[in-house]
Amino acid sequence: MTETVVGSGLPSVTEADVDALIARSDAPEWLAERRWTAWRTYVAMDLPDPGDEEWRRTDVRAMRFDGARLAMAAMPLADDAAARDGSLAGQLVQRDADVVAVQLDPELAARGVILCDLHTAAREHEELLKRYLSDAVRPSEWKFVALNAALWSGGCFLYVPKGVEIALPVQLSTSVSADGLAAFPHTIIVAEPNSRVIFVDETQSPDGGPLSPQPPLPLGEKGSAGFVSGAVEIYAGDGAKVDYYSINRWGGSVNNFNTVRAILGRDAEVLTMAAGIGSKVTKMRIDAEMPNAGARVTLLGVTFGDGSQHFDYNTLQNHVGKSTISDLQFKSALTDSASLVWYGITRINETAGGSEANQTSRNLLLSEHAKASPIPILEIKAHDVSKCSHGATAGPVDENELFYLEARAIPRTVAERMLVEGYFASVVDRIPNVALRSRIMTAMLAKAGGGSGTLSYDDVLSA
Amino acid sequence: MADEVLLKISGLKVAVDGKQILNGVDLVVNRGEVHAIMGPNGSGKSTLANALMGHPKYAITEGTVLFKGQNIFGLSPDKRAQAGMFLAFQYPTSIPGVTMVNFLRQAMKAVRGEDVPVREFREKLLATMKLLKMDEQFARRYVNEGFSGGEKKRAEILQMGILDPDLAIMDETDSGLDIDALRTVAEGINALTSPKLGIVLITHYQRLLNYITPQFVHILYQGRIIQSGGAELALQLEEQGYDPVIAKYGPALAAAGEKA
Ligand SMILES: Nc1ncnc2c1ncn2[C@@H]1O[C@H](COP(=O)(O)OP(=O)(O)OP(=O)(O)O)[C@@H](O)[C@H]1O
Ligand SMILES: [Mg+2]
Repeated sequence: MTETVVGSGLPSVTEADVDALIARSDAPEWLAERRWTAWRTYVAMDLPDPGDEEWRRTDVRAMRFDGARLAMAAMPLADDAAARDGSLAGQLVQRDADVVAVQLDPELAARGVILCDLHTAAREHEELLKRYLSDAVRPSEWKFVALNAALWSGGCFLYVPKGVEIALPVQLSTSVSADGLAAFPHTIIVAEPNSRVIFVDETQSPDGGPLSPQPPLPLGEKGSAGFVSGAVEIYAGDGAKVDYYSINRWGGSVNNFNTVRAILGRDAEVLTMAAGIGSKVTKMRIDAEMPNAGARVTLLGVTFGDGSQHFDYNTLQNHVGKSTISDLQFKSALTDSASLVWYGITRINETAGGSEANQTSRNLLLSEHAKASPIPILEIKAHDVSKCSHGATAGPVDENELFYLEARAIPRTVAERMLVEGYFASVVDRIPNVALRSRIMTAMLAKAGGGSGTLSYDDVLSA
Repeated sequence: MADEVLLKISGLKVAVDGKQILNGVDLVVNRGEVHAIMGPNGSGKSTLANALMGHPKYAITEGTVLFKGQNIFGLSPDKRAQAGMFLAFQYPTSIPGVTMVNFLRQAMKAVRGEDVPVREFREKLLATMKLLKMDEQFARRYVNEGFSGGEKKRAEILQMGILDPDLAIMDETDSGLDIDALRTVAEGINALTSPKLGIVLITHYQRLLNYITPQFVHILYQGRIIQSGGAELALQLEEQGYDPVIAKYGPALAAAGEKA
């Protein structure tokens, strides 16, 4: 039986877990059935073949996850973690297996905006959930996505009705309270035509660095590997605008698998940013599907890797509709023996005439043992592509840039920090929301050894 | 303060990627003096400037350079800048992501050796930008990123103003400037001049020297200063080009080079 061959290193989850979850969350029939189907898919599927290009540099067959047990029901939070924060339109806090707090601006709720966990969505918005759950990210995709479909709990459902524009970000804060747990976050964002939403997806577990505004997390069996398999499904209707920011601050023991897929309507605009800070291993897929004309996608990524961290990003810019535009910019800085893979496909199908695509991956190697493998793939079938460019680099800090700063009296260590900061800033500065921009920058720089004391021109002027 | 020796270069030989470019340069610059260095393309002017500032690519193979009496060879570029040396680059480097305002603030802090109150920094910044007729928006932009040739040159002098050096080496600061910009930049340099400041102007043209009068003009050829004179030498070059000078001194130089 294949299960015994590839199953020995798998997370310690069983049929009984599926059973218990269904019993506990009082799932409707159709949902229970979906979980069982997904479980069977999980059991039947092999782990990806390391001969496969996408898995060559992150061989899951060689990894062991068997210490990880299913995260249990969460303790209610002692303090009000989701206390309404004026900088957010809404907030959902998931701890271990459960959502422990939800807040939404009442005005938005009155206009039909929905923010709730997926169990609540199954009860109160059944048709919506039936339609959108596992439609963009399908269980058959690969083994751990199937496992997510079988075992997700809590989860986040955000629904923005037609024409509703939410100016402030909606935030999901997901945390796992101890090492050695298996967690299955699942997020669905539905932005109906001409709506607008900014979504922040922040994840954390012990050792992942402080995350506001949550209480400090207790340490569990320290060092035993955590396991996360997440799914994020983004549906941007015609003319809708969705920004999705993922801030990965998983603790240093976590093996993190995540699949993000956005499906865009006509003239929809989606921006995603993946900020890679935490985890032991991250294997993240970010796909933008543009089946309709005029869609626009911006895929951004910033990663700072140290120790023996490994990040492996797969991206897809799939142009199907006419005159669709996509732009990918991923940057990493890697030190110690950290490694990064970016394997990105730009596909311009025959039907996608007049489309425009770019992909760039830049990787700064701050130590001789750090390693980056940026791999851009162009698949162009349309004859009248209006622009298509790509670039990939990996190398040390530019000597001329360093000399220029040093020639201005700036010591080398400060100069290096400024260059790393500037290197990330040119991506992070593309985030339209200023508060988010500085939050992500601060998180990146905290990891990179503190900022160089940046002030904006406005700060200087107002002094 | 004037007449005090600021820079003393003796028998300086410099190699780039194993290729000898400077073949023994001697030069003394006192405080308050303006020296122009002229010479055909490829004669080694930028090599001299970069070597003085400590670019790691330029290896000093022989000779000494004293700045304020101190041998600078052991000093990293930032230490040289802190000591009061400044180089306005011929080709300033773009640094995406680092804004001018942060860069200048870090530079000012580094050269002072202590934090500069934001208010004081702002005043200095705004005053110097005004002097150089630079739009304040430049402070928001990334260092040299997307700057036109002339804008980069102005930005170099802005940095000089902020850093307030004792020795300013300007490598073709006049090239790429239109007529009005040339005047603005020259006036800016003059406004930043003081008796403590020594200037080394590397240039191809008389036009900058119309604004900033050098006491000394040196001709660098094949990595050596082959002739020195007063301001009149630059005027003579403008009329006659390098040929007469090279005809007079070049052959002897070539012979000396063969002997060496
Ligand atoms: N890496 C290198 N390898 C070999 N030769 C080099 C290298 N870098 C510079 N050179 C040579 O050194 C010589 C001096 O160059 P330098 O830039 O100092 O000239 P310059 O006098 O400033 O010229 P210009 O007036 O054109 O600015 C040139 O012949 C140049 O080709
Ligand atoms: Mg030059």
